[in-house]
Amino acid sequence: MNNYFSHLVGQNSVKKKLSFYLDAFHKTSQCPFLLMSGAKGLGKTEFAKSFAKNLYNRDGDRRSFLELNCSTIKNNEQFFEQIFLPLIADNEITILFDECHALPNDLTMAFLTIFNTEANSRKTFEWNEMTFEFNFKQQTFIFATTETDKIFPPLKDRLTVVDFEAYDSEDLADIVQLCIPEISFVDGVEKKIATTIRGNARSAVKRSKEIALYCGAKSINTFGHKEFDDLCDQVGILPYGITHTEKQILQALNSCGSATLTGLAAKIGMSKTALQKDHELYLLNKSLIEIDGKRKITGKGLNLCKTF
Amino acid sequence: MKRGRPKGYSPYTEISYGELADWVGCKTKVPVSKKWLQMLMGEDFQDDQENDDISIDNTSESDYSKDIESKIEYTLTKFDNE
Repeated sequence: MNNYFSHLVGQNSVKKKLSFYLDAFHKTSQCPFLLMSGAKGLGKTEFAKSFAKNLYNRDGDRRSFLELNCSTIKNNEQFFEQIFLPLIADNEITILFDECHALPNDLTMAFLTIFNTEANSRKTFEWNEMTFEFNFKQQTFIFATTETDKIFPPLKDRLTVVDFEAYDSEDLADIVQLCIPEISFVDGVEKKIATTIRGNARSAVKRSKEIALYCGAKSINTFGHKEFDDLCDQVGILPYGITHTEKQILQALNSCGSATLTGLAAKIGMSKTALQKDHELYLLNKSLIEIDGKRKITGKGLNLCKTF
Repeated sequence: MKRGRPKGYSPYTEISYGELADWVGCKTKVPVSKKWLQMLMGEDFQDDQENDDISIDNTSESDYSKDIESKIEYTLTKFDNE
């Protein structure tokens, strides 16, 4: 099996699966309809792009890659007029439907017909007294979303799911180093940096940009613990990568022992939904709080509070 | 307790075509009886309601055209051959 993704860090099972489909594509010119699924910032789009880069046309040229944001598609007519006819029909191209949970209902229904291919590599779709020809040897379709539960189940059944995993701290340290090869990390500071990244590749890239700016401003090219502590102080990076709102939540729970969601929302001044969706999950994931009827701070959370 | 409409009540009223046109414009479609129109037009009458709804309020129709006009966001990448 070829290694098509050596330039990307982590996601080994994704790399294996996609490499298998690429090898098969080079022999058969066909590829299943892929669904990249996983939390934000795990590299779904980047992997889809790298995958597309390894697909070749019959004349040996690399295939073009069309990336669509599904939340901007309103209906069938708009899709077929603006996208299918000018860009897809009769072309060799790879199409990524990003945020595919936001596809409009009529296009989802059309896709049920189009992607119900049995063994055929061609599909004719008739709509509004017009006929649209799909050739799956020329056109490769990839879907991506963070919210697979919102995809209409029969459409999901027609797609081959590629699951992305959270990055471990070693992968995150590698991503930071890969983004700024001109800077040397000393005394294992990259491991400390990795603990402040919120588990995804996008955060690692953002952190590496902050480090590059810091080093640029100070005209240095080695980065150690002293420099990182200084950077954390200047831009407000907190341990475990928690935000200042999450710091407030920990401090509130530390002072009152335990609180209901409503009580905590009142203390912090945020809506319950925002509190649950944006902050509690991360604190739970890092074992800094626990929920047992009420929200409580853990021993690990208490230790962290003492450092503030 | 009295129920129903009073004697002689009608939901319709009369207005001249010219006066109506002053209010809604002469291109606005108004619902009329098919039978009456057929009598008036004879063989020229065509029932095209299936393709063209007769409606003074066309808000939903114009919303749909706005949706078609709004642009789908996309990025097209052409990879260099290495």
